[in-house]
Amino acid sequence: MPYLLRKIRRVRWDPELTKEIPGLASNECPSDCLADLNTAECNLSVWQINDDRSNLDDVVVALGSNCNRIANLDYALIDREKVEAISKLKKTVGQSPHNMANDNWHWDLIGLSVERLRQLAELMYGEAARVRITRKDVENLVRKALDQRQLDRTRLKIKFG
Amino acid sequence: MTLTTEADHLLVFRPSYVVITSSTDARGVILHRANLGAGTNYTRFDVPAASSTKRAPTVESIEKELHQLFSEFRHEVFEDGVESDFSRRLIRVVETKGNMALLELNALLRAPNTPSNVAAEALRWIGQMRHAETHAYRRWILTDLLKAPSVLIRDGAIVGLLNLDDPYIKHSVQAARDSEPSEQLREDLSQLLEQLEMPERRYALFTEENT
Repeated sequence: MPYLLRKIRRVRWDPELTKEIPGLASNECPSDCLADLNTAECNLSVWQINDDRSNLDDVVVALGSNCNRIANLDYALIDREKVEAISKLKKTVGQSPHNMANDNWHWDLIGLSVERLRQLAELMYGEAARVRITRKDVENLVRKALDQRQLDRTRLKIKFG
Repeated sequence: MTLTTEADHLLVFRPSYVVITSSTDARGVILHRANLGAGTNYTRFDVPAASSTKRAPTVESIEKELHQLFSEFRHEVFEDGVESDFSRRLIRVVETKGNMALLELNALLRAPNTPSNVAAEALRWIGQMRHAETHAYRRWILTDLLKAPSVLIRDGAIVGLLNLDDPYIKHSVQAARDSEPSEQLREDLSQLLEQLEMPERRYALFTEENT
C-alpha cells in the first residue's frame, strides 16, 4: 500500500506540546498543526511514496531543493488508503526543481472542506509516521541529484551553507 | 579532563562573557566589561574600549531592535528552509553587533513573554549562520536552551545544533537526551548525537578558540 508524504514542522505535532497549552486535552490535536496543512483553492499538495519507499530520496530532494536555504526536512507519512477515505486525490504536476518527481509522484487532495481538513489533521496526529531528515543529509541528497543532473537549475533558488 | 555532568561541561566550555540570566544582568556585565578598557583578555569581546572613537551600538538600541523584531513576527508561520525578513534581519543584527547582540538575544530568548515560535526560529538561524567571532556564544546559547521549559524552544535548539554541527557539545546533548520528557525530541537528540560523531562542517572552532 503506497503512502502519502506531506512536509511538516515536526514539533507542532509533538504530543508533549499539549501539556504546555492551557485548555488543551492530552489527546487533542493542537490547532497549530493546521499551519502544516495550508490549502490553496481547497487543494493540498502531497507526494506519493511507493510501498517499498524506493522513491523517498527523490521526493526528499524535490522538497529539499524547493527552498531558498538547505535545511532539515520534517515530513509526515500516512497510508494512502486512509487519506482516500477522507478526500479525493488527483494526480497533478509538482512545482519543484525535480522534474521526474513532479511528473510521477505529485498529487493533490482536492475538494477539501474544513471538516475534511480536521479529519486529515487528526489522522496525521494519531497515525502518521513523523520523520526528520537532517540538513546534512538533505544537502548530500540534493548535491548528488545535482551531480546526476536530475534537477532543473532554472528552478533552483537554493543557497548552500 | 573528565566531565561528569552537563553542568560541569557547560561551566568549562562556556565563554567567559556569557554568565547572563536577565537583560538587567546583561547590561551590568556589558558596562563592567566596557569600563575595563583595552589591554585585557576581553579583546575578543566586541565592546569598544573607552578610548575608541568607533561609535558603539548601545545595549538599549540592540535590545529595542530585537524586541521589535520578535514582536513584529510573533504571528508568523515559519517554514524550514525558507528565509524570511525575520531570519535576514536577525542574522544582520548578529553579524553587525556581534556578541553584544547575542547577549541581548540570550536574555530575550529566556523572557517569559517572548513568543516561543519566534524564539525557536531564532535558534534555528543562529545555528545556521556562519560567523566565527560569535560561534562560541551561539553554541553556548543553543546548548543551554536544550533545557528550556518549552518543547518548541528545545526543538529549535536541537535544529540549531544540527545546523552548527560542532562536536564539542556532545556531553551536553547526551545529558539533555537523558532528561528529555518528549519521546520525539529524544529521537531528535539521538539523531544529533549520531551526526556529531562525524561532523562535516568547517566551522568547529580551533582548540585555542574553545577556551
